[in-house]
Amino acid sequence: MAVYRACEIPEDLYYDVDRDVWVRPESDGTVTLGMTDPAQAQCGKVVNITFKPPGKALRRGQSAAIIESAKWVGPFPTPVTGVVVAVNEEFRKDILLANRDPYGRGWLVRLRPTAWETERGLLLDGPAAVKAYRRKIDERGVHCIRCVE
Amino acid sequence: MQPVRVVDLGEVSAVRSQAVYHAVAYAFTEDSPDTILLVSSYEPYVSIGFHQEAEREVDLEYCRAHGIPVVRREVGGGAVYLDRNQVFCQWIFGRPRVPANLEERFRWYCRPLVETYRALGVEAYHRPVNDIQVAGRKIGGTGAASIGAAEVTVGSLMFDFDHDLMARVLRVPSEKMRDKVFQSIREYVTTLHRELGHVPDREEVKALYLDRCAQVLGRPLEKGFLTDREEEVAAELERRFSSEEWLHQKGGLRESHAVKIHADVLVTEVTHKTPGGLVRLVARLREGRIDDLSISGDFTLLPAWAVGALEQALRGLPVEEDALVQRVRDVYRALSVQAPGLAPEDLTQALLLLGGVR
Repeated sequence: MAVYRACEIPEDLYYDVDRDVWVRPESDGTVTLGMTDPAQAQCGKVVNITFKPPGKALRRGQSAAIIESAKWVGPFPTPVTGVVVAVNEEFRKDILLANRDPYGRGWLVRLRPTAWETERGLLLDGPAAVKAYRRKIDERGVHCIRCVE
Repeated sequence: MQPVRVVDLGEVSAVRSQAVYHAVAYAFTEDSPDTILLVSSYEPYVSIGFHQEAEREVDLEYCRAHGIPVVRREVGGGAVYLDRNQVFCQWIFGRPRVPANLEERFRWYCRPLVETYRALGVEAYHRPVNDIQVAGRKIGGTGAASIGAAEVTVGSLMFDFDHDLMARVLRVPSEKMRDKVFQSIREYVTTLHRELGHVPDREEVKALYLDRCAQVLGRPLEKGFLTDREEEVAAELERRFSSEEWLHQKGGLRESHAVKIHADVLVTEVTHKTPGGLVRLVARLREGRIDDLSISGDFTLLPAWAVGALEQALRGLPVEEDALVQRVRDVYRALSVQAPGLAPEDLTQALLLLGGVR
């Protein structure tokens, strides 16, 4: 796990650095998506989320959820084309999940990808992802903090 | 440095005053100019936050009966009553030219507003994250959204504000809560009218504001108009924002149980079942402490005036178990309170519900 300015960037995930989204391929062929640590730190405490419903087909770049944080509303764009198979209902009980554990319990949606073989090549992983994130974190002056309470 | 386009739309319909900045954002491309829109609604209306459930938050029957439109925006926050006494200042900028950090972004956006108020003799300041205040009172809120390829930051110049109607249009669980919301708005919200004793000339204030915008942005401003494409998108959005489907869109995962008056102040009502009966608390919380409290319910508590003493004694306390239970016990002991089924611990459990409110 790489850590830069307190931001964690696990090297075993794929990233769309521009969209600030991580992607984890699962053994059943689906992919799990979530906000990165720098994304949750920049957006601040989440206060609400609306998910696109399971069954919905999304093109790469379309919004899989709308997130509201401290006075900001914005899309959570998917870097992967596919059909929503699950959304993280645990946010109902704890809306701060992504602020506490962005790569674990704070995942947002799971998709069945329809163009994974091509789109995987557009994502970064391992040292390339870490390098890109270091640059982005510097450019934006991000310093990550997590919610713990 | 590219100039910033300024479009002063004057007074327009309620739905257009919301649709237009969304339209500029949705139509935004790399070639679009960063834009400041100035606009007011000639008719009173209620604007609700993106994730709010209209039926839960707004008294839709009252609004319908009084011809007050209710319009959902794609920006967060709560329901607010608006009329021609606010001039909305809507910034639609390309992403690279907006501070990435949210707090910095609000500081950047609020500066011209704060400086305009100051130039008018009102000692306004930015209260992070996104309030502008005068001596602890809010003078207009702000909000932000990422829409299409643009970053949208919105707020207003607060000439005047109708406290009565703001408290009236909200759906609240009881009239007691409505009273508390009304009092709290009076106490914690201010306007140019209230600060100056008169409403200053709109055109002069707008000119002052644009002058401060140019200074803060370090860029020239250029008066302009909406493009045909932007007008087209605006017309489309006006239709969508006026539809029942958009208004009644389901809310997000979470519901709010409080009316937020400003960054540090919220009003809420909670109920709790105790062995002695139902306890209903209407409270105003300020920075996590009980600022004002009404206790009612179908329990028996003697002497009857001890309820008032409890309300008084709990003010100023943080919503923390140890402090609350201690204070309630003290009052019970000092006044020899008799309350079958409502022990100090039971009342404390009700009070602790206030801590979970957001």
